[in-house]
This record gives sequence, C-alpha cells and structure tokens, in this order.
Amino acid sequence: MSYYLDILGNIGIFMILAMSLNVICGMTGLLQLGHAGFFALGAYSAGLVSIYWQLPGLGMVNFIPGALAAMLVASLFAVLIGVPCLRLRGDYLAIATLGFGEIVRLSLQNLYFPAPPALLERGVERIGGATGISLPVNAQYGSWWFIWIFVIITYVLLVNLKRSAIGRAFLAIREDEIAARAMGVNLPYYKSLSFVLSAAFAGLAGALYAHKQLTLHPGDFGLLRTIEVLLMVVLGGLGSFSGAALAALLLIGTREALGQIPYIGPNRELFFALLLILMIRFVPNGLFGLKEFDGVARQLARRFKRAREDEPHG
Amino acid sequence: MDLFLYYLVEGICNGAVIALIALGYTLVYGIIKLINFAHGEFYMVGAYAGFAMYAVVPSSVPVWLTILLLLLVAGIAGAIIAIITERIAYKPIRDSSRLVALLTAIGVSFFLQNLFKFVNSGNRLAFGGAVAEVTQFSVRIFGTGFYLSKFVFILVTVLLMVWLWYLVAATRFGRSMRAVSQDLDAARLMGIDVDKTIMMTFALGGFFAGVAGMMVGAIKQIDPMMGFMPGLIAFVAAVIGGIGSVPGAVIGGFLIGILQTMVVWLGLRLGYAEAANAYKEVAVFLLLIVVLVVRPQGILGRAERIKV
Amino acid sequence: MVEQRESVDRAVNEVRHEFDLLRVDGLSKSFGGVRAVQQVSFSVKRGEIVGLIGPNGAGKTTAFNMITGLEVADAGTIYFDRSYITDLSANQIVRRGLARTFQNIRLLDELSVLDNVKIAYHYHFRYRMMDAMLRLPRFFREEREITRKSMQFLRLFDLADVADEAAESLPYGKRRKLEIARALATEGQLLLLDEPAAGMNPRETEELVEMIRRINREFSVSILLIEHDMRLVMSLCGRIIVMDHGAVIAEGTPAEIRNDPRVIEAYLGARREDGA
Repeated sequence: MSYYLDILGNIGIFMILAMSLNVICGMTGLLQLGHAGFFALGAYSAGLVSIYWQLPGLGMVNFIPGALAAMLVASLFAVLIGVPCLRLRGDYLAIATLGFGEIVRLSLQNLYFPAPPALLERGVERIGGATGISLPVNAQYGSWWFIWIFVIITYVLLVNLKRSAIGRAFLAIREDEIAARAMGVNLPYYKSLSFVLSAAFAGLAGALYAHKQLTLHPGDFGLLRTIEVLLMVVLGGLGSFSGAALAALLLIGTREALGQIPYIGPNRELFFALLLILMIRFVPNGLFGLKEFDGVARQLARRFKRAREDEPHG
Repeated sequence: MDLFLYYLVEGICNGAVIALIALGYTLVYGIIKLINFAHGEFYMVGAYAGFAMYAVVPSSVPVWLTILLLLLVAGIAGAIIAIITERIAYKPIRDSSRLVALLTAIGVSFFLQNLFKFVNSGNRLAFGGAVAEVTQFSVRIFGTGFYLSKFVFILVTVLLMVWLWYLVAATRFGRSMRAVSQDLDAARLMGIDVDKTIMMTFALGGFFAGVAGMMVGAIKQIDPMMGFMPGLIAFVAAVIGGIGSVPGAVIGGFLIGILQTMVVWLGLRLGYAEAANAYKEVAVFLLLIVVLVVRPQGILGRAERIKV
Repeated sequence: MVEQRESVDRAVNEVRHEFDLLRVDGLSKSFGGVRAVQQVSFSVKRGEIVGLIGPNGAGKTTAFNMITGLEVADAGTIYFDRSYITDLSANQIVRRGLARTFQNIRLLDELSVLDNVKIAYHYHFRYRMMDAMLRLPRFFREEREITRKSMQFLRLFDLADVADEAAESLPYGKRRKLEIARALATEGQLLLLDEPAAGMNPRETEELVEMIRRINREFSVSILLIEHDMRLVMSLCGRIIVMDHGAVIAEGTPAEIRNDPRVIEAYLGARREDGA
C-alpha cells in the first residue's frame, strides 16, 4: 500500500512540474529546456533551509519558509537568465535554457555547503557535491495528501490565470507575436512574467520533492527530467493544465506499471522510450488541445447529444 | 610554460573530436532545421561497432591496419544507424511542428541509450591488446610528453574535413545539399532527390560521429551513456560557431576544446585544480549563453530577418 | 544647444500639425541596400478616410509597419494625435489609439473568436495577477465589462453566434471581419487597414465598404487603408496617396488621381514589367 501512496506522491510532484512548464512552453509557446534547473534550485533551497533552520515543535509549518525560499530563489534565477535570453527565438531560446539547466546541475555537482552542527559533531565538515544533501529525518512531509493539496492549489491558480487578461496575453504571444504586439501586448514583460511564474511553481515542486525524498542528488535534475516533463506537457496538449496533470498521471503510472511486468520490468526505460516516440507520432496535438476539463466535458456532451439526435427513431 | 603547451595541444586534440561531432549537428540542422538530439548516440554506436570489430580481427593483422579498419567500421556503423534513425523516426514527421521533431529526436536518443544498456547490461568496455598498447605511446616534444594517439585525432579530423570540403564544394551531392538547405521545395522542383540528399546528409554526419566515437572509445571506456555529454558539448560548439555553417562547427569545436583545457590549466596555475576540472563544462555552457546573448546566430551564422 | 533646437523644432511641428491626426515626415527605410521607403511624407486628418495605393513592392506595407512600430524607421518622424511616436514600440502605439490589421490576417487561431476581440482590451485591464489567480471581485468586474464590450463588437460584425468557436474555423470573409472588429475594439482614433478586401468576392467587398463607412461615421474613427481594388478605393476614400518605388508620387482626390499622368505611368509601367 505504501508503495502506491509513494507513487501517488511522485505523481503529484510531477503534476505540479508539468503544469509549471505548461505556463512557459504551453501557454506562451516558448521552448524551455532548463526546467529541471529551476526544480533543482527549489529543491536545494528548501533542503538547505530545512537543514540549517528547523523550528522544533512546529512540524509541517516548517515547510512554509522552505517553500517560499524555493519559489523565491527559482524566480530570482529566472529573472537573471530570462532577461537576456528571452530575446532569443525558437530553437535558440531552447538551447540557451538547456545550457542554463546544465550549468545548475553541474554546479550543484561541485558545490559544497558547510555542514550543520549536528553533522559537524560527527566530523563531517561539508555537504553537497555529487553525493548530494540530506534533510533531517523529521522534515519529511511527503504524505500524498500533503502534496496533492498543492497540486489542487497550483491547478486552480494557474487555470484562473489562463482565463484572465494575463493568460490571454501569454496565449497571444504563442499564437502570433506580431499580432500580440500590434494589440498592445508588451512582449518582453509578458515573456519574463511567464518565465518567472513557471520557475516559481517549479521551485514549489522542488520544495515538495525535497521534503518527500529527503536526499537530493544533482543527478536527479538533469536534462532527462526536463524532457520527461516536457513530454507530459506535449502529451497533455500544449496550453492545457488539465492535460498536463493527466499526462503526468498517465506517464508515471505507465512507467510504474511497466516495472511490474516480468521481463519488461528490468528494461522498462527501453519500452518507455519506444512508447514516447510512438505517442509523439500519433498524438501530436495532445489529449486535450488547449482545453481544460470543463471544455473537454462540454465537447463530449455535445458529441454525445449529436450522436443521440442522429440515431434513427423508432 | 610547458604545461601550458601541453594543455593547448590537448585542447586542440579534444577540439578536433568535438568539431567532428559538431559537423553532424550542423549538417543536419542546415538541411532540415532539426536539432538531432540522437547524434551523440551515433557516436556511441560507432564506438561499440569498433569494439565488436576488434574482437574478430585476427591479431596477425598489423596494428595500423587494424586501427584504420576499426575507424572505418565505426564510421560505417554510425552512418547506418543514422540512416535507420532518419528513415524510421524522422522522415514520417518531417512536416510536423518543430517541437514534435525535437521530442522525437530526444526519444530516439533515449531509446538508443537504453537499447545498448539492454544489450550490454550496463557494463563498461575498454580496448585491450595491441590497440591499448598503441594508445599508450607517447612522444617528447620540447620536454613535454604527448600521447601519440592525440595526434591521430587531429590527423583523422583534418583528413575527414578535407574530404567533407571536397564533397560539399565539388560534387553533385554537395550541390544538392546546398540547394536543399537553401530551399527544400525549390530544390525538389529543380529535380533534386530531396529524400536521398537528406538521407546522405544524415549518413555523412553519422560517419563522422562514428569515427569520433571509435577514437575516444580507444583511449577511454565505452558505455551506453558515453555519447550524452560529448553530444551536448559538440552541439554547443555547433551553435557557437553558427549552426548550419560547416566552417562554424569546426571553429566552434576547436574553440570549446581549447576553452576546456585552458580552464583546467588556469585552475592548476591558481591552485584550484579540483574546482577547475569540475567547472570546465560549466564554462562551456556559460560561453554558450554569452554567445547567444551577444550574437544569437553564432560566430559564422547568418541572421534571419523576421517578416511582418 | 542642439537639444534645444530639436525641442523647439518639435514644438513648432506640434503646432503645425495640430489638425493632423497622423503626420508622417521624411520616413525612410532600407533593407540590405534596397530602399523600400524613401522620404515619404503625408498626413491623415481627423475623420478622413484616406487610401494608400501603388503597385506591388511600392513600400506601402513597410510604411504601415513603421507607423505602427513593428519596424524601426531609418529616418523620418511620425506624429500621432499631436505627440511624437517615432521611437515608440508597437504595444505603446496601440495605447495611443492607433490600431491596424494585416495583409495576411493575423488572428490568434486556436483561441475563440471572443478571446480574439478581448485581446484588444489588453491595455485597458487594471487588475493584478493576484486578482486573477484568486478570482477577486475586481477581476470579475473588469472581465464582465470587457466581455460585454467585446460581444457588442461581435454583434456589430455579425460574429456573435460564433463567439465560442476557434478563430481558425471561420471562413475567410469572417476572418477578415474579425480582424477589423479586433482592431476597432482597441477603441483607437485611427485604423490602418492593410488590403481589407483582398480575397473577398464582390458581395463581401460591398459589405466591407458599408462597414468601413459605418465605422468611420458612428465611431468617428479615421481610416488609412492600403487597397488594390480601385473601385473600392475610389468610392470610399476622400483622399488618395499614391506610392511607387518607395516614394509618394501623387496625392489628391479620387478624380485628380484618376487623371494624374504619373499615376497612370506608374501603374502601366508596373503592368508592363509584370508582362500583363
């Protein structure tokens, strides 16, 4: 049972990651290949806050400062990298952000922090580097429901944003930059805003991840992680938060299910890769297109109604 | 001072390999505007093919001939895997969006890595016997020892580049390639076999990558993930040089090769050897971002005008 | 000293152009040695409908692009509504009340027809991101107003019944209409229409002429339009500006233009070059 609940927690974290990437890639249409970098910054920030600064007796409330730090640090780096890079178009932006993601991963691999007092007593002088960092055991707030509360909050906030003038500006940039400018959308501002928002929620996902896993390795935040999340966004339908979340569920679920099958299990990554190529080929527009759950439900209802009307009577 | 010389030569040698891989990225991007993420895996496949070939070459064959044969086999294997990838994965999605193409390329890369993990069950392989002995030869120049194998890198790269230059400048294939990269539809109307040209371009890039994989595989270890980082670095080299530009890829390759060893050399001089070694890749990506911000089209690339 | 001169010049210009809604002076632009627009000057007065005509490649669209801030002029000045807008970016110029449509219709294809009009109100909204994310009253108040106004425009253009459909699903004529509706919804004072009748059949063109007249009258919006359909231009515009090879070669009433030898030469010459 706990195995399934653990997976449920993982799915929740990936849902937030996928929804956050959907802000920049899906809504604003800017290909971002450094998302794992923001995820890593969030996870490490929350982890370090928790290592150095745990308030005893407060329990889960200790999550809040870490999460805020995670979102703040991710946003700061997004501003730092976004302001120069967001002028780039298409593939070039993708490459620059990819470079950023790799810089974060490689830096974390070689970055050391002074050990907290508890470890110093045991003769450990520094933490970090390729072996990563470990949070105190009492900082584990990884229950699936705890994570899912944040999934719901993220979903509601982002869908609300999508259906506002700000969301319309993002979508306008994706559809046609020139038309967006001609209609009064300030491109640099809205591109940056979208980039920073995306990073902030990736940071939140990082904080949740840190408090669930407790041990963080730089290797967990490589390009592959970004690609995985990007696949969720594409499979869900670019611009759809419902789609991104559902795709996270499907992809992680499929991978775990593959692991259960004899023979395939040990080589599941191979089958998973094959599955990805096929999915991209046959569902290039994603499951939901641009729609959210309500839009899809309405469309299905309409189709159902039409089918009933078309039925010959008597 | 001699250490400086050593690292400079080392940088040029590494740069040669990076340039060789970068050529594949640039050729493919120039022709169909696809970032072929699986290119690093062509390099890996080349190394494996060379290793497999080495197992069947009798030890009575002279070592220089063996090495030549291995390089050739690795190149051909790289070309074959490139053609297969292009036919099965890329051709059907040629008219899809860029994002679909990019993700497919990444999927292929991921698939090939895991295929070799499956076949090889994750073991690292290393060349033994005569080849291993040859790679240990070193020569002394100005009192500094250099591995002879590194000079082979430069020699092979230069020969291949001359060959590529000849191909592009003076053959029918080169003309078709240039025509397709200028305007694919117009080239088709002019009677150029676009499909074949694209396939040959992939094969050429795969051949270079395969040879590079074999060379590096001979002095280092071979494993399914070996193509990832070199592929990424070579890709950065292609972008810095100006993606789509053949001389750009060569310049970018050498630039990055030298940059990396210079970072290491500087670290040694300043007493931060460990850190410098660790950050030599960070330096590459930092250079990438700086170049993209200052000159997005790269050193030799052409800027595009956006039509309103 | 020089700065002072410039500011005086600017003040003088402002007085001189008090009655011009749009005033373009000495506008020039080259693309890699090709002079697309050279030393173009003209003006549009309040309430006017002005036609901008000329053979293909005369630089009409490039002039539009510079006026609307999508392309940066090499030289020249642009005044709109008595203020200097030459250096402003496209999004700032829309705010001043100058909106445009495009030759090759630029709609937000995957968005609904309604959202396509709502985007025109982009610079009107005042609520904050938090208002939107948390659905605070301020958000509802403003969005309701934007939706109401947008629907008004859609009704005006007979598009209300397709408000929820994706813009890409509309037939060509309706797409043109939607783009004009969107430009009008910015509530500007001057509308720049780039070949609004291109690809329309005679009946649709007729409708379009009526619509433009109505917009001009009811919303007191001035109009500057590029068009190749001479019947439309002659019947609609009070004044016509003719461009050829990047320069203005004639300006006047439809009757004057029709009999201007330079204009005839430009068109016939162009036709001869085309081989038609």
